[in-house]
Amino acid sequence: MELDELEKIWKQPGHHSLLQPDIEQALRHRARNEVSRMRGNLLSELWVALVSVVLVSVFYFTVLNGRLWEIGWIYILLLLVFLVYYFAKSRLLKGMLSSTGSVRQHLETQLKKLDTYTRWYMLTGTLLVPLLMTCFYFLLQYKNIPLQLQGVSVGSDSFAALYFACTAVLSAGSYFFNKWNVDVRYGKYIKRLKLLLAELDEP
Amino acid sequence: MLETAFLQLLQAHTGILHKVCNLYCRNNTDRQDLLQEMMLQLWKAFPGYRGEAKPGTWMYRVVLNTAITHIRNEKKQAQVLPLPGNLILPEEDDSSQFNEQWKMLQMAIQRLTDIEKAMVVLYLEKKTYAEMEEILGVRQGALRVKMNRIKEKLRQNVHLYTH
Repeated sequence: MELDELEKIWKQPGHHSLLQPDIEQALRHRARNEVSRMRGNLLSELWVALVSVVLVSVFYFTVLNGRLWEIGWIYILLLLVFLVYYFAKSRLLKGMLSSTGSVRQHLETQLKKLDTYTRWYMLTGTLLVPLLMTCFYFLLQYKNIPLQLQGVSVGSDSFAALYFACTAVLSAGSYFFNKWNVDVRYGKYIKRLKLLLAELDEP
Repeated sequence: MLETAFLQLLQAHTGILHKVCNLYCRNNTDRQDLLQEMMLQLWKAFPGYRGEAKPGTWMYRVVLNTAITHIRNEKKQAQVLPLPGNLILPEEDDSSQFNEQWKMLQMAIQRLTDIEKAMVVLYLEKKTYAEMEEILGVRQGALRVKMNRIKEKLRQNVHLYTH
């Protein structure tokens, strides 16, 4: 069979009809593409952050008769930063939704924005632990909280060394966790976009 | 007003939406999902359409972009080529010969990559290379080379299916 015949088969009319109720139903359904899934993930992250910060802040406002109230405020400040981060990422994802450009433009835009998105994810996710830990360290010093780590009290050099060693370990853990998380959530799609673009570019 | 224009556009191109769904998805659930997704993306993009491109070009861009980046349920794709009940086939398919031919065409195209499928759709829709360039964003020279290769692949796939 030759390609001309395939064209004839392709051109055969069919009973393809779309009734208005079918269209209305389709327009009500939730978008099911990678970007919509990512937006869903981002919204879940926002909820997790909101609930966690509220709980942790309440804990610090009440524990030790409220002596650690500053930590509660640090968490609330952190939530505000997270909100800015959320809206920036949400805008980035929204920009990926446009599908009116050529196939190449669409894929390139998605890849570029997703690359920026995952960089932000890695950067903020990795910096969060050391920043918070350093902040807490100076707060512990300032408030003179009688905390002990392995029998070493706050204020001593040994405590500082131990504390920052723990911070380094946690930061490294957070880096690898974020790397893994980014790969699980977005890696497959990034790989697919790269493959599609490479196919468009190949001679 | 906007809704009427949108409905007219959709109804004029219903056939191509169904055909693209058939080529990109191998099971009915995915086809229904993709069809809904295409309509949704067309609807979202429609208010921004200012006539810079021909309506057909604009529509093919949205439809193919949606099909290429759509999430398909890979597990269900194990069932190869079941012809969908309410979505697809032609009225005059009383002749099982036509049905068979359509299956063969579908099978031959489904063996291609997603980008190749997009090119074949445009080729079968008799789009010129200039229009294909506008829709795919690939230069005409490169498109000609690719199309020759794809036609050969398609011939081989058809041969595989018929023998």
